[in-house]
Amino acid sequence: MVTHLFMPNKQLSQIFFWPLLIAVVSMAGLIFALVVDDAREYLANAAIAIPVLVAVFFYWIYPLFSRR
Amino acid sequence: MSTQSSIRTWAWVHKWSSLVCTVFMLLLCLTGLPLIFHHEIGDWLGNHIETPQIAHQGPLASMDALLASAKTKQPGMVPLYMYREEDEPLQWVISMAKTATAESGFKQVVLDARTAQVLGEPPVEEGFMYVMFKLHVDLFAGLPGMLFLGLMGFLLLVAIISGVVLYAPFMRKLAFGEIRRQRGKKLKRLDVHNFLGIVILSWALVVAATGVINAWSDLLIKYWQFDQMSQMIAPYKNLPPPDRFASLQASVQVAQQTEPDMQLGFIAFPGTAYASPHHYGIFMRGDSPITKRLFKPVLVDARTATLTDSRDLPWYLVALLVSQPLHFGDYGGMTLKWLWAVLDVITIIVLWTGLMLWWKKRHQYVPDIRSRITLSEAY
Repeated sequence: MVTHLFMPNKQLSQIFFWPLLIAVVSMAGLIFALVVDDAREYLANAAIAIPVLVAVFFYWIYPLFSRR
Repeated sequence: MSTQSSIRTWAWVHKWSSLVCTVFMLLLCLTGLPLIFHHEIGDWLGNHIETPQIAHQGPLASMDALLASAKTKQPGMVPLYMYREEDEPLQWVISMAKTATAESGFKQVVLDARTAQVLGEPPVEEGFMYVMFKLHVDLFAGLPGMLFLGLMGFLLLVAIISGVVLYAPFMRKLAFGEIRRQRGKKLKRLDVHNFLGIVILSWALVVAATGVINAWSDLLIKYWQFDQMSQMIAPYKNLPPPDRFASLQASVQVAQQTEPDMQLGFIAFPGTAYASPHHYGIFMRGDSPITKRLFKPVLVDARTATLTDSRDLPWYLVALLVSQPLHFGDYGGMTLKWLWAVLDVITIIVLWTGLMLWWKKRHQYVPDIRSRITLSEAY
């Protein structure tokens, strides 16, 4: 049975959950990269890369699956 | 959830703060892109000066020999600053000009730190990268240009924050990352703008805020001179400029003895913004990723090579020095530079889609009331 024809209104916490998580992790990466100079820098760079990966995923990869 | 009227206020703030700064931000993003790779582009253009492979034993050349070499190469010019590039520890660069307060007509002499031989004179104030740099920093307009771009950066911060607030009402019925592709260009553009904008939020905030701080750098240095330097050099207030200069090598040794745990960062010659007319400003730095960016000035009397004063940097200069790598993206190797470039391109897309959203809406003619309601609901 179809309960909702459209997606129901989302709460603020639902709207901002992923954006906030991405923002906090990438901000931590930006600052962490400034204070380390060794292998941990890869970790920091990975955190900074998350926004790019998320953008690429939702723009190019996700539509390939959702069209099926 | 915000009420309709507060949404309208935020939308007004977002529209006007972005509209005013967008053209300049597009310019800054486009000129900033090559600047991320200025080092690599310099190498590629053949501007990089190699350190010759020679068998060298014994001590490095004295600072005095290096300075004398530079002066012989550029007679009639005074030295301004002496510094090293991180990737060429065996080279010293001395920048020179006709006077210590000159604002143009600069020369650079690159010297071998071991032999004091001149290795080359890279071109300054010319070429593609210089144009990019000036457009990015001050629009060829000096301090007013810098402050103007700083103001545009501040508007961008306002646009980012208001954009985050507006993200909520637009996303009430959409999943995170959802881009409505099948329902016309307009909705797709709106979704791409909202999605990319919120995803790069932290980076955009950091780069915009640190850019604004950098726009104030000249004024911060001036304030430092007024606030700290004037106290340090108070005893010299009414003295005539020095009639002779003591050994630079001896002055550097004095600074090294004053800060034995630090190493030499750069030297500001008498009369420049980072020194006084009577002093060598010898800037010592630490060794860790953070402290190597934080300089400690040691003022050495340029006539007698004796210590005058040494103080830690005030908080506002610490803020400036820490904010610089966060703006340039030059603190994490090539990976970070590429990330900076991609995030910069994403920013260009957000700016462009934002501009197009406004432009198309301006020209939108909706004939019947039903589609007008549908559209306004969607927006």
